[in-house]
Parts: sequence; structure tokens; C-alpha cells
Amino acid sequence: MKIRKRAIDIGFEIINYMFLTILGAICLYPLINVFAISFSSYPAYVRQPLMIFPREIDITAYVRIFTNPLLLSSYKNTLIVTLVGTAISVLLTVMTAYPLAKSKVKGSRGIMLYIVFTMFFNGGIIPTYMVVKSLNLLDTLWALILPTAMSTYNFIIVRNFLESIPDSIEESAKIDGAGHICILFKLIIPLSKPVLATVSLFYAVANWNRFFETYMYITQRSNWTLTLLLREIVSDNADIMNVTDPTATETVFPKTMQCATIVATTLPILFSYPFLQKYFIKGIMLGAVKG
Amino acid sequence: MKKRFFRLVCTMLVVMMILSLAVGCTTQPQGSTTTGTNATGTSQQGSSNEKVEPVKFSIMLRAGPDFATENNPWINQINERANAEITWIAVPTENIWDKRNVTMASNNYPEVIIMNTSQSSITDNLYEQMVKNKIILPIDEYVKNCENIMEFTHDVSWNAIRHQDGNVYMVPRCTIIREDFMGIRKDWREKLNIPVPETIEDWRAFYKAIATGDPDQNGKDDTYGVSDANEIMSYSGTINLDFFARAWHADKQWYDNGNGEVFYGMFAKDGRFKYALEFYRHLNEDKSLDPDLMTNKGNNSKFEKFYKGVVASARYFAGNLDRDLNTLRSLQPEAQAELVDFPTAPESAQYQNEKIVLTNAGIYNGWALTNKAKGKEQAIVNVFDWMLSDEGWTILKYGAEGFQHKKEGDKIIKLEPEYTNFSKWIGHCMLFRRPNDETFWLKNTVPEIYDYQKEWLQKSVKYIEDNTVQKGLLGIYSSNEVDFYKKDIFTKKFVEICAEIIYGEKPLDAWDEFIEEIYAEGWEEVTKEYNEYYKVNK
Repeated sequence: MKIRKRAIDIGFEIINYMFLTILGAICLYPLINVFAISFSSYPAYVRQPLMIFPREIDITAYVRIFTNPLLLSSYKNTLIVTLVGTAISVLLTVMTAYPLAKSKVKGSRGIMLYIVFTMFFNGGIIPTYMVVKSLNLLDTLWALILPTAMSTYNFIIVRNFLESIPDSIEESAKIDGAGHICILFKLIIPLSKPVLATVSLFYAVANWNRFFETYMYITQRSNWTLTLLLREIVSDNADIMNVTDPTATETVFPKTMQCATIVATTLPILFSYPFLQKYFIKGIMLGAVKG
Repeated sequence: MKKRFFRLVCTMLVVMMILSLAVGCTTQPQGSTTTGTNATGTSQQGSSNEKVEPVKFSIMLRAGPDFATENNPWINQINERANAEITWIAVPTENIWDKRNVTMASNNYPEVIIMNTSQSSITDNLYEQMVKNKIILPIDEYVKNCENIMEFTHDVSWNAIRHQDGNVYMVPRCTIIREDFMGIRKDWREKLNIPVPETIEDWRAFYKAIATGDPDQNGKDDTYGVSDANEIMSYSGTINLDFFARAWHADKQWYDNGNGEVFYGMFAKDGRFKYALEFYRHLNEDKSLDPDLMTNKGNNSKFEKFYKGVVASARYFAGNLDRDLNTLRSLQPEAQAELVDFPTAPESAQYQNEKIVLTNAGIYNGWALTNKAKGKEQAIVNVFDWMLSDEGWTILKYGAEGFQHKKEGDKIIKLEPEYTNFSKWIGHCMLFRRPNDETFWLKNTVPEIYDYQKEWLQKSVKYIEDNTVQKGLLGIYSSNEVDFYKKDIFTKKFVEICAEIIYGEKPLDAWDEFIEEIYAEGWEEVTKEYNEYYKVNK
């Protein structure tokens, strides 16, 4: 039986849709404006800074970004750091979380405290640099992967999830003669796909945005990551006085440069986020209270 | 049993942490490095018939993202012509000091490092420690025979960077010491039939005409005389109001009062800065001050107003006139610009005994040799000297010969597109500059104004020579002053009081009350420090 909507309900829905549409437009407008400015000429931007559609199409800023000799290498480095780093991080996180999820393991509480301690305190920039240096990782991509391989926050999420897996599954596997490694890789990990997908995303985003470690540990420009390169391009053009450095003969204006850099950096994330959104939201809740 | 086990685990963890602390505190043996080389350099001044081994060293410098260290013909040519093997550690521009400090702390530094300076003194936070611990080496005996370094380094720069122990610990990178004048819309001025402003009243009349005369002929009253950044005088870059304040010696300069004492013009105790505020107040009353002034953030927004044709004037360096004109003409093809000298005011006569005391030593960072360069100091300094030679300077300025430029007789021909690519990244990579080389500052991108621009460039240098006391305050570094600039009274209250006076919310006398606060909050100590230094060094 179809329930007829009352007029007040219809009215409420109309207002609701209008409000959400306006809110959506307000949220979307800055992105559209940035996109439009990035494809417009500087005079067009100066005349109409609030544009929605690009005017007097000018791709000089994009040419400057994409003809940068370091762009391809930085994309490559970022992909390597993201893929390899994420794989290593997830593996380390699972292998650390699994034994600590079992309350029967002696000393697990003490080790947990030791790991959680690192969430609040760290060695500082110089001691960390010296550790990386002493491991001969300086100026290699491993310096971007290994020192930050495991995140305590993600570890806690995985550990909490693994705690919810019933012990009976392990016990039945043990009865069948399975060892710990077999149980972990053939039983626990397949059951943990949601949490693994989530922490993989967290690690992947963190690795994609890695910046501080790059400028601290990497000297060779061929080892730069994308975020550092783009940040340098933006800051090099951030002030009109930098742009008018007497040694430069070509002027690319700060605003168009900044906007083009924002577009170039966020496009991959923007394209992939709609497909992965539900995992992000699920993931935040995964480590939370269980029934 | 459980409790005992738990105690055992905790004890083991504590022992592990203590052990790792002990291991972490051990130092690497002195002299072990992962950067730098062990080859000893030889003098570049050997006989031209001998094959001299190239000097090998690493240099840490900041460079933009377009600079590549591999397969770079410019670097290769420098190495070849200077008989060197330089490893360029090019650090992102924004992070140079963090990176350098971390490498210093971890004993991972190269032979040559960049040192932080203001225009007037060494402001590097590690400088004193480096000198005390002999991390950086004195270079006096090595530079004294280097003709090019001595010729193209200002005398005032050497004075400014000399340590109190009498030694010089870096080779300064010198830049032009000049004054910046006000650029105005010449086409608007001529359209409105107004002469070039000379006095403060002339400027007021000029700006009023701009605001009311519709110089852009669009039928709207949307043009103004001048704008500024919303930080007004506490902004650390170029300030338009500062230009007008010079009429009363109330700008951001130190002045000798004619009796051998110095005072800071803007904070002069007689409150003369209120004349400058009154001028801006008049502009506001005439509606010739940019109404968006308090929302302008930084230089970009100020200059955009000028390029857009909203305001008639902006203060800038004569060397940038052509490029600014090009930008202006991209929006307004008929635009013309000209430069104007400082104004005078009716009260100027009472200040005629005062003179600016030069604090600008023309330094734009410096290059220090670390203790890892021991044994090859002369060789490295000789490479620097080569960079300032005719051959070296041509390569530094125009790029590699045969790649970014070529020579036809005495003429330099830029090879495109390589030269344009080179000019994108050369900026901070320029290790040295010949500070007063006109062809370095004048790019000739607008040939019709080249002679005019050259004339004003020379004027901007001559202004300093003619109007300043060259000795007395060079090299001063006041930590009291640095601390003062961080205080709220400077960053917030100063801006507020200026804005309130300009926009008529407070009377001019409010400035006199504020000056008392300024001195009470620390400027008295700064002035005392400057006077003590001046007494000793003038």
C-alpha cells in the first residue's frame, strides 16, 4: 500500500534538497574555481577572479609543471614508495597485531605499552636522521619506507579487529595440524580483508603524501617524490617578487601556478576517492566498540 | 607468578631502552663522513703548462625544482673550466636551513655550506657555534689574493661579516645596494595633465586626480592612487607608505641625528611618523587610497592592483621596470610607467642635518668552508674567484657556452629554448653575483625603455652613495631587535594603531602615546644597543 506523503513532508523534502544543493555548490565552487583559474590566463584571472569557466585558455602553468625534468621520476618514486611501502606496512602491521591480539601471549600487555608509548613520544628529527644515516638509507627510497613502516594507530585498528575473530577458528586449525604461519596467512588474513583494505588505504594515502621525510633524507633530485616537487614548484612561484627575480626571463604567475599544482596533485586522489570512500568510513569504525 | 613475569618483562624493556640510549649517544669517529671527498685540491694558480688535478668538493645550496644536477651542461662546463669536480647538493629552497642544520648536527655536512644572512649582517643561528667549535674555517688569507672576489665584493660586505675575533668566515654573495623608487602610471599622469610629483602635496594632488579624473576612461570611479599590504609598516617587504615617510626621515631606516647619535626613523621619539600617517589619512579622505588596503595580503595583492589598473603607483626596483611593464601591458596594452624620486615635505628642512646610516651591506647569504675542506681551502676559493672572472661570470649569467648561449665576437647570443629553461632555475643557483653588473639586472625585455631604466638603475645605486653614512652600523645583529619584531606590539598593535589613525578612528596624537609604549616594550634597549655599536664603529 502506497503511503501518501503529507504536504508538510513534501515541503520539508524540497527545502532539504535545496539546502543540500546549495551546500554542495558552496563546497564544490572553490574546486571549480581553482580548476578554472588553472586553465585561464593571468589577465583573465585578474579581471574575473571568481570565474567558474576557464577564460582565455592558457596552459603555461601546466606546461611548466609537466615539462619539469623531475616530474616523471617523481611520479615513479611516489608510486614505488606508495606500493612497496603500503605492502611492507600492511605486512608488518598484521604480523605485529596478530600475536598481540591473542591475550594468551605472555608479555603482550607490556609490548603493547611499549608500542603505544611511541604514539606520544619520538626521538626527534636529529636522532632519527642519525639512525637513518647509520643504516645507510640516506638518499634512497627505503628512507621513505622503512622508518615510517608501521603506524601505531593502524596497528591498534588491526589488533582490535583481530581480537574479534573467534579463538575456535584457530583451535580447529591447530587440531588439523596447522602452524601459526599457516593459520595467519590462510585463515586470519582472508577473514581480515575489510580491515586490511582499510589500513592499506590509510598507508597508501600517507605514503602518497610523504613530504617531510623526502626533503630530510633525500638529496638526489632524481629520488624526489611528487609532493616535494610540486611544493617546490608552488613555493618557487609563490610570491610575485620571486617571479620577478632578475635572473628569470619568463614569468609564470603565482595564482595560476598554485591552482595548476593543486589540480595536478589532487586529481589522482579525487578520481579514486569515490570508489574507496566506503572503506574509509568503515575503517574509522572498525577499531571501535564491538558488540 | 603472573606478577613476577610482568615485572621481569618490564625490567627487560627498561634495560633495553637504557642500552639503546647508550648506543645512540656514541659519536662517530671524527673525520668519518658520507659526503665530501678525501682528495686534496691543488692551487688553480699553478703554471698553465702543468696538468693540475681538479679540486673535488661538495657544496650545499638551495635551488628551485627546475634545477637538475645530473647531465647538466652548465655544471659540466663549470667543472671543466674551473678545474673542479663539484658535487652540488641542491636542497629545496624553503627547507635549506632545516636540512643544513640537520646535516651539521649529524656530522654529514659538505665542504662548502651556505650561511644565512640578512642584507646587513650574519643572522645564521648556528654561526657562533660553528666558529667556536671550528666547524667553519677563517678564509682571510685565501681570499686576499683573489682579484675577482676582492673586486666584486663590496667593502661594506667584508666589514659586515667580520667576526669579533677579526676573522672572516665566509665569502659573501653580494647583491646590489640600491634604493627603490616609486613607479607610477605615466600614461595616466599625462592624460590628466599633471607634472611629475615632487612634494608631498604634489603627490596628494596627483592621487586625488587619479581618483576623480577617471584616467582609464571607463566611466567609473574605480581608480586609486596607491595601496599597501594590510600589515602596513610591519610588513617585511617593500612598503609604499615607507616611501612617503622618507620626506620626514620617518621611514624604516636608522638616522644619524647630526650629533653622533642614531635613531630609528619610524620610531623617532618626536613622533614624526604621524606626518606620514596624516598623509595616508588625507588620501583616505580624498578617496584616493585603495579601499581594500586592509584585505591585501602580501606583495602579490598590492602588485596585482597595480597591474590590474586599480592603483596608479607601486614601489619597486628599477631593474624590474621592464618586466613589471610587460605584466602591466598584458592587461592594459596602452600602459606606460615611470619612476619618481622621494618626495619632500614642508617639514623636511628641519631634518637636513640628519643622514641615513647604511645598514644594508649588500649581502645575500655567504659561502663558508667547513673543516672538511681543510687542505684545499685555497683551491676552493680559487674556484669561487674563477666564477667571478669574466669567463666564469659569463657562464654563471648566460649558461653554458654552446648550450645556452654562444659568442659572436663581443656579442652574446642566447640560444633558445635552452636559455629560457636555464633562466627558470638559475635564481638561487647563482653562487655569486657581480652586484653592479647592469646587464645582469637589465634584461632588456622592453627595448624602448632600456636607456631610461639604465639611468634609474644608476640613480638607485648613486642614491645610497650620496645620501648615506657608509660606516657605523654595518654588521650589527641585535637579538633585542629580532625579539621585538616578534612581539604583539609590533605585529598587531602597531598595525591597528596605524589603521585607526589612517581611517580617522583615532587622532594623530594617538601615535605619540603609542611611541611611549614602543620604547617601554623594548625599543629603548634596541636604540641603546645601536648607539653603542655606532659609537665604536663609526
